[in-house]
Order: sequence, then C-alpha cells, then structure tokens
Amino acid sequence: MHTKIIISVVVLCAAFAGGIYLTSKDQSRSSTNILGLLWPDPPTLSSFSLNDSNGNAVTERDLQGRWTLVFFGFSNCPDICPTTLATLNQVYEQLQSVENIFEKIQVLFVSVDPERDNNQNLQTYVDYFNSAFIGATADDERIKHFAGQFGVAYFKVKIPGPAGYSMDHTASVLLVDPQLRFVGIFSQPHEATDITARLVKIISFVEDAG
Amino acid sequence: MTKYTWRWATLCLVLLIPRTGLPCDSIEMLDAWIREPPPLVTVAAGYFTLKNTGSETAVIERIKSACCAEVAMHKVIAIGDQMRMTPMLNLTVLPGKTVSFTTGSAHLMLIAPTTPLRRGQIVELDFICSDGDSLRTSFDVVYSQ
Repeated sequence: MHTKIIISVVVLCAAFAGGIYLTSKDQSRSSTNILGLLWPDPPTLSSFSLNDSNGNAVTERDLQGRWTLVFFGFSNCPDICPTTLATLNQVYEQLQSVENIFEKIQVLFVSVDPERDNNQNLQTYVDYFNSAFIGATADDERIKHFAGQFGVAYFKVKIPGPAGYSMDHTASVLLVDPQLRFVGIFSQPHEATDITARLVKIISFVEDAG
Repeated sequence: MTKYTWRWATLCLVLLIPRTGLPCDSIEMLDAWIREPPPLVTVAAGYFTLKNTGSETAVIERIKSACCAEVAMHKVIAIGDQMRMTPMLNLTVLPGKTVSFTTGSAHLMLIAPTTPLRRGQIVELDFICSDGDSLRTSFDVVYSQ
C-alpha cells in the first residue's frame, strides 16, 4: 500500500515538474521579450565584399557559422568608436567564461572612412582594443551596400579646423547569427555586462528557435 | 596735483588691484582626463567636469594648448540612431551650476598632437574665458576601458 502511494506521488511530481518545464520552454520559445532581439522574421544578409587589413576579402562566408557583432565607425572618431570598441572588448572577455558561446563569437569593425583608414592603420587601430577583432573596409559603394543591409547609413560631415571632416554613423552594435540573419541590435548607451547578458539570451533563444 | 593726474593715478590703482570674481576665477575643474588614442590616430578626446562656484555666468570661449594643433569643444547629438559630432562655439555655465563633458555627450577634441599622447602623460590645457582670463588645467592621459 505504501509503495503504491509513493509511486503515485513520484509520478505526480514528475508530471508536475515536466509540465512546468514544458510550459517554461514553450514560453521561452514564443517570447521575444529580449531587448534588442529582432524576431520573428529577421532579415538575411545577401552577399557583400569588404577587405581586411591584409587586403583579403571579408565576405558573407566569413560570417557563416559564427555569431558576429558588427560595429560601423572610423579611427578618427574620438569618442563613440573607442568607447564602443572598449566595451566590446569587455563583452568579449566576459564571454570567455560562457561555455559554448565564446568560441562562436567574433567582432567585425567596419570603417566608414576608407579615405583615412587604409589597411595598415585600420588593423593597428583594431588591435589596440583586441587583436582578435576583425577590421575591414572597402570603397564607399561596397560599404554602403553592406551597411544598407542593416538599414544603417553614414554621412561625411565637414567640420572647421584641421580635422577637416567627421563621419556621422550609427552607434549601435549589430548582431548577425551563423545563418547570416540580422537578429539583434544593441543601441546606446552601451554597458558591457548588459550587452553580454542580452547577447547570451539572444543566442540561446535563436539557437532554440532554430 | 591736477584733476587729470588724480584720474590717471586712480586708473592705475584700479588696474593694479588683483582681479577677483571674474568668470575664470570662479571655475573649478574636476576629473580632467584624456583618453589615450590608439597608435597612428591623430585625434583624442578629453573629458572634465566644470563647476562654476561664482555669482556670474562663466563662458569658456576657446581652449589652447601646445600639445596639439587645435583643441575644439564638441558635443555629440543623437539623431535617431545616428551620432553626430558638432562643434560648440563656447561653453556657458550658469552660477552655481556644473557641466560635465563625458563620453557620448560632449568632449574636447584634441587634433593633431605634436607628440603622441600616451598613458601616464599630463597635458596642460588653457581654458580661455570671455574676459580674456585663462585657467590652466592638467589632464591625465589614461588608457580607458
């Protein structure tokens, strides 16, 4: 008699726990309540072509199979760009302790100022923040094509003095998944711990959703 | 002594009296630092907090330094998702108020440094007030993460 009662209690508990698990799993699948997640139907990037510091092509093939944080900027940007790249370096370091994610992450910095950011100084610039980051640029037409796929634009703006001009650009960090889908956006203000936490949630959600 | 002699003597005395209470004298500078620029980069950003402890409005007209070809005040304006850097003609701080130049809001743009700015250095910047007075401030060059 006691055995039957114990078995019944165990079965009921298991069913209850299973129910909770499935419900929570279902909720996480349907939830798009993660700040910055672009879901459902994220746009898929088409082919593009940039060049890294060695002149090698950086194309959609380099993004396939990896989670890529993309940031547009330029090396003569005194404030937003170094701040954001330093933050991305912190995110990168924080992710090192996150199993199954760190190996899949890469950071792509795209200079929107090819006139001043030649290959050599671009890589020196990127290396200052993290030598694992990829620096790339291209001619204006190819940068515009790539940036346009995220719906972002950039503009050359004249400023008085020896600097000559500045570049208006998005301050957001954009996230591309291994299937080349633009699945996330991290807008200003940027705080490393916050980005890391949301990034992990987005990756988990998208991988789960398939 | 003639009337004119007295006038000249009075004027000379007034000029000799130390100037107090003028805008630059009432400015207190705090947390002045420059972000170390990456190698080969010819611009850097400087940040500070300025407190006007006086009873008059303080106006910073410009900044000069031997460190760089030019030092400009820039504010960052967000237009939607776009960030635009715009030169500031001057910096006006009302009596008793504090203004901070911080990342993402405003900064000093140090253009074309005469020697590379490296962490640990101290750079002197002269803030020129509207009355022509100046305030020298030491900025620490910092590696900022």
